[in-house]
Amino acid sequence: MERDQGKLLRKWIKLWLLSIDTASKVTGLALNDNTTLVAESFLHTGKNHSERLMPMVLQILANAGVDFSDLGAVAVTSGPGSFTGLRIGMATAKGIAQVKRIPILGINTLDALAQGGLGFNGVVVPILDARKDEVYTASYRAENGKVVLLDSYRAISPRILSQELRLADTRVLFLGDGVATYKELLEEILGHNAVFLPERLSLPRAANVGALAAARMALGSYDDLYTLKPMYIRQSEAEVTWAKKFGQGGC
Amino acid sequence: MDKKNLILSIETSCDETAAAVIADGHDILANIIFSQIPVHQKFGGVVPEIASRHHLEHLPQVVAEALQMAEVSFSDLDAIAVTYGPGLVGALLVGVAGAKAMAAAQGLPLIGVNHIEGHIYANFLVHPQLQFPLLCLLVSGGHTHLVLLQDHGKYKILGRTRDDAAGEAFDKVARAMGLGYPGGPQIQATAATGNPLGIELPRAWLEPGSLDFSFSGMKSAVLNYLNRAGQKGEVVDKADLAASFQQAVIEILVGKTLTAAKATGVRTVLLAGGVAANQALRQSMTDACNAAGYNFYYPPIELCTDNAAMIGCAAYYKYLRGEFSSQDLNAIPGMALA
Repeated sequence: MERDQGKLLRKWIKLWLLSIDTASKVTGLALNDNTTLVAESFLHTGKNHSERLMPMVLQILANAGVDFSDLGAVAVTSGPGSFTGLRIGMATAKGIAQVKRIPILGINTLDALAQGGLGFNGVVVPILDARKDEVYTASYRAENGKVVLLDSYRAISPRILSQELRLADTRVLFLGDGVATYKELLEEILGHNAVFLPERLSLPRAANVGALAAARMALGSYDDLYTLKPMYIRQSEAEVTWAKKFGQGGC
Repeated sequence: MDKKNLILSIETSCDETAAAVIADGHDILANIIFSQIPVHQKFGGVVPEIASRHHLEHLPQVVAEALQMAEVSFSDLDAIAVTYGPGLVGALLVGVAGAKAMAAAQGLPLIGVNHIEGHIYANFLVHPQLQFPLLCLLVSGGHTHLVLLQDHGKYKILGRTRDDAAGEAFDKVARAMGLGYPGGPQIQATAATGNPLGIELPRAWLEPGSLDFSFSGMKSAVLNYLNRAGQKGEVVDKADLAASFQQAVIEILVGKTLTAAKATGVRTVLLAGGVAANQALRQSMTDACNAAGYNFYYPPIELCTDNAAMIGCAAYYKYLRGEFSSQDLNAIPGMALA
């Protein structure tokens, strides 16, 4: 009887959390039972998310013996990142949330990436390739097992970013897929203050998205299915051109 | 009484975020369309990135409204259908990703539908008893096709445009005349008071017997006419120009359709696509088919322009044939009909 009640309560609470990250070239999934990471998928093949994401979702759930009906929430990286990648992830997360009537959580891509610097003491700067010779970035301070955001999310040229960071004259850990492209430039400007990790520890991991989402769930903080949208940072080209021509913001 | 087949369909291929619930392939329980036209108007045409952003923002609401209006829930459905091409890739991907997730989460079959096929099937929404073979003139902003329908899902393209689609020509001419976007309704409204024989424009019939189309020459003739008038400082009678251009396009569309009907021996002609909403085209085709003794059907205007009901209708016949899509379904922006 007691066991049944426990089972019922457990079913009622439904803490299984599925986290989706398709903001960069990595297709990432994590499955958490409350704060415990139970399964993680990481695909870095350079192929598109659209074909792979749902088969991976079905696979990770099957491997963990979890059904869609067991999910208590779904989390997704909400940007910045590849516009199309963000939309594939969020449309998928929203579809699951809408059908299963479960809460959705948008987790900032850079916040999740910065979690990779948890073991570091100093400034952590995730950089995601934003093309057009820019990176999506923000600065964080990592100390005593915590990572705290220092400034705001933006798209910026890596040269200007590293010149800014040089003024601080401190060790900076760079994470993310922008490292592969801009490592030489960062080293040239920051010298030994630029710190890097091997790629396997530097690329986005959905486990970090799950950790941040689980922390928000513990506080009862969720997003709204109907109003959650990606943080693109950049406007579309058409809006930029229109604003240049007419001197106003876009729609 | 047997339970009705219920399909939730989603359409996000261009600038309409749409969802519908269709019972037994023809009973439209809900047909919700969130039009982004006002968003794109200031840019003079659809901006793909902005369209994609709006699809993502509005899809859950549009789906919720469709289910609510149909008074069904996800658990009542038999399948989820989605347009996966042709169209704008970023826009298609939103609908495809959403539909796949919904189908998987509810444990339902997924049905990917070709957008052009959907336009043709708008006819089966209102006339489910249509008998094959059928000849369909499909005219939209992206396509101008003469299609022979041999059976459900069996298409043969008899002719297609070699340059601009008919709707595209309308859009470009409307823009050149300063009439705004979308061009079709603007041309039609401006043409209402004009003389269709007022301004002489060429008709591109191509080589004898050809069922292909070409509208770029006719479009250029209008642009040249506007330029010449501008250089001479003459005032253009926009009503006459719109009416004359519309008339030239319609003559070609109707003429080629009747040639195709004659060549194939088909007795029934269908009209489909956004340009099928044009009243003058509907009237001319009705008159021509009546005179030649063909049956002629066309969907109501609200089912001619992009909508999800037509996708649900096409999906129903795929459902009956057991043609389901797998969870690796991808958007195919340049997808062909046949």
